[in-house]
Amino acid sequence: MGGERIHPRRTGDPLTVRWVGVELGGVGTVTSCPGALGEWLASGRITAITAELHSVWVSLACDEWAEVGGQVHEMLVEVQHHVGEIGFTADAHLLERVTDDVLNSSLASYIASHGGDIRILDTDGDHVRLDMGGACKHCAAATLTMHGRIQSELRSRLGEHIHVASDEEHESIWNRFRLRGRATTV
Amino acid sequence: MSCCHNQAPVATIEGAVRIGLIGNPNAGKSTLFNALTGLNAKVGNYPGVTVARYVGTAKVDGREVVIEDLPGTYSLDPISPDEQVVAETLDLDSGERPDGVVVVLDATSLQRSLGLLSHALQLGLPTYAVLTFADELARRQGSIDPAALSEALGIPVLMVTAGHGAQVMDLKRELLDPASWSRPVVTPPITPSAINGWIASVLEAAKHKPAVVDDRTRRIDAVLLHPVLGFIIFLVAMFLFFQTIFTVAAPIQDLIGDGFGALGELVSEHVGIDWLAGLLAGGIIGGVGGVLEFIPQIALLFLLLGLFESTGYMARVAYLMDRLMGKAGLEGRAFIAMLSSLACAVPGIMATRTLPSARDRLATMMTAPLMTCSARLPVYTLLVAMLIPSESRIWIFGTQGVVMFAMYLLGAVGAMAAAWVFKFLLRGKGPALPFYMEMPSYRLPSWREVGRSVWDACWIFLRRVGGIILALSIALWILLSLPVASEDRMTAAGVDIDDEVAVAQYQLDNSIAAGVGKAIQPVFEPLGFDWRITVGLVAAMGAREVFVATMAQVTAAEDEEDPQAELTEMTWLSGPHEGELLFTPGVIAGLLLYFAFALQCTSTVAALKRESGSWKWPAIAFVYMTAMAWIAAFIGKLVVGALVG
Amino acid sequence: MNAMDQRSVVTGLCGRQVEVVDCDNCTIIPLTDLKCGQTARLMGFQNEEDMTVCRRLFDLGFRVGTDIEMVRKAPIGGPITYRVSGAELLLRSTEAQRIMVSVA
Repeated sequence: MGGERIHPRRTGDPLTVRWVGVELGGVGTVTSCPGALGEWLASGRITAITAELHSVWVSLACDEWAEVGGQVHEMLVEVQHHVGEIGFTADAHLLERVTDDVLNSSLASYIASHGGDIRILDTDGDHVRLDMGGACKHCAAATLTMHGRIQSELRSRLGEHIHVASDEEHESIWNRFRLRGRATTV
Repeated sequence: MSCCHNQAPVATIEGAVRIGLIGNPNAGKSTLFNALTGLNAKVGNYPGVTVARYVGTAKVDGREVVIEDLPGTYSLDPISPDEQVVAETLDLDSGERPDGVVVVLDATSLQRSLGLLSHALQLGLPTYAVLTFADELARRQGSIDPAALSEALGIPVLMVTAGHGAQVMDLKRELLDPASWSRPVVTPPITPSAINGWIASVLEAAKHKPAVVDDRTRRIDAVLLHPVLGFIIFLVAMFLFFQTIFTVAAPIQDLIGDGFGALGELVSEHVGIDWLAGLLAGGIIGGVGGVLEFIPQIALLFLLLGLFESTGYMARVAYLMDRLMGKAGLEGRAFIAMLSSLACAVPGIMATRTLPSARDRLATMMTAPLMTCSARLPVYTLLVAMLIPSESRIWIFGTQGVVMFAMYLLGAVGAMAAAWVFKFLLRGKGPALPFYMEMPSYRLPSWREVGRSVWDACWIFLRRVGGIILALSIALWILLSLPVASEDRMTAAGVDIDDEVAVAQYQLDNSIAAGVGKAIQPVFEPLGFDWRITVGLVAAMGAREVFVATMAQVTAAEDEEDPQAELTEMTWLSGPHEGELLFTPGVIAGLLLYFAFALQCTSTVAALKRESGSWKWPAIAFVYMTAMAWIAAFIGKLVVGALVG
Repeated sequence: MNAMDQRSVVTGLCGRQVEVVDCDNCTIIPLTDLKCGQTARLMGFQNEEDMTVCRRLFDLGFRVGTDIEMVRKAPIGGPITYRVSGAELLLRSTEAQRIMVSVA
């Protein structure tokens, strides 16, 4: 079974499909890769391949997913055998994109069930700042849990170095809890 | 490189939205279908085992959705004719392609059933996934997130538990507009290993925790499938079942019988026109009433079959009987067809669709009619009552009951033996397919589903009564009443016109039916049947039950309420045996055996033709069964005659 | 049937060699050799040329990489009950013999 444990998902963009389960051995924009996938990327038929830890975003030049989906599937399975030959560069927009995905799909129902309304304020390298709004705004405990879940989800997708911060007001409340709870370290 | 355009979906058909329901067998598909359509379903064929094709309508928000319950299938690549139906209906070229497909998935075996879903998604039709047995999944410590599953699959997903009306309502609304259902951006892969990977990935994303082994089912099976104990329990259940039918159904039967008797009397008294009274009382009420009496038994039989099926016990029955069936060259599932035939051969014949092997199917359907169907009951009841007094007992059981059971056994043994012969004769026809069968978890019966199958069975029985049996009864009455004897004729023949009985007898003796009967009589004379019995047999060729009514009409009944008494006293009217008692024990035994083996049912013939695809097979069935019947009756008459005298 | 040389097991669809499996620390045996209650992983099919059979087994849940548990033996000659992919199924020994599984 190996690299075949994958399934495709829609994204907000009809030209882009996220293939969950594909592991290319790196995170960021793929600059070059071997095999048919590399050819498609070079020729522009695929406009972009962006990798998370366990999934990959593939964008086509035109909306031919219905016709070539199967081929792309095979190419992705194939390329995972040659993971060492894939070239990456960092992608500044990836964190925002993934956070957006997390907020709007994977954790969307969880957030909604708590009456939350969370937005991305900005991203900076490995940090992303969120506005924890909605019903959670005045509940520090819920904010804490929510924050924890979003962060752990992002870390599982992009790496342990990802850090989620909420905006100033909540940050201080949160810090107060932190300081009270632990003896040291700020 | 040119940019390809998206293909527009298949043009919708005018009128109501049409939805096809597919899923593995035992996935709860039919329960869902019943919940969606209520009692609005039209039965396309006979019910019994869920093999028939049901189409029903669901009403929601003032609109209608047509839903078709397609046969349970493991794959859209068909192996048995059952599955063929599904593949053909959903095919691109099919004129009956639905507007949307609902795939029913058992939540306790998702790993397997997602395979079917992956095939279904290749069809390009709007697809909706419904997960059933959510309660069982939870009970077995499993779990899944339907919303996450929906995201991963790219199609809408609804998780349901049987009996939750609100969920069904939600689903009904969704069915109104298949075009609005989300579709996967890329269809699932088609190679086995890729499908495997896709399933694993999807289930992981849906946070699937598989159900643990069903402890309850294991423990019950430890008893019910025990090689010795399980078998004994099964036999006991069968025997008690039969005894119950004859004791529980009996009082209800008598009520119905009395009711019709009273009705008949009423008619004879109040209807002025003689011939009309005769037609109504004798032909119609007599013919039909006697048959309707057996509805309680039919209902009971189908109730039990329905319960077996619904709880999952039917698969265990097939397992227990597999070895026995193997002796006839068949497999366990053939037994289910045989068992269904105890109610009526038609659902039994249709149940053979689940047998993958063409040879097995043919052998089973050609011999299932030998099983004692409910149509034989009126005949057996009459004959056994004539043969054995009701007080007679063998140990604690009534002798009549024991003989009835023996007749059932005879039918079963006959069917097995004949199946063996057919398997032997058919060897070399078609490839030998692998045997496999699923053992579903034990589940509480869906009373709605069972109730529905009983209702449908009774309804179809009633239709048959209203159709062929009524027609035959009337036709028979006409043939027995014409030509109307004139007074001069009768006087010339030496009949006393004032003697009603003598007149009736003369009338009968010179009727058209008598002409036919006397012409055929030589064929049956060695069996001890005179022309009147012969007429009864000929009439019964359309439907066995008609025999009883025929005999009632033929006894120039002075006492219509108790034709049995009349019959017992009947004597030969002419020929070498003139004056002798007609219904000797030997003749009765012969008749019993004749009815046990002969093919006397137009519905069965029609079903055989439908299922085998040609007239060849029903013709062969008719010939071999009639021959078998004749020989058995002959031997029976000799043996019993010698024993009892 | 004896345990076979690990390297010669054919995985994937019957009759077609897709991948040769390297299987350390495990023995590959036919499914019929499983004892009651024992679980093993399906590796592939042996001597099964009939595509219909393989396909049907796949549809029923007998897929490479899946675990199969032997539930119940039948009286002599009867079908054997296996648990696979969440469901319980009966198979005759003729078919079960050709399914190759590995026990750790």
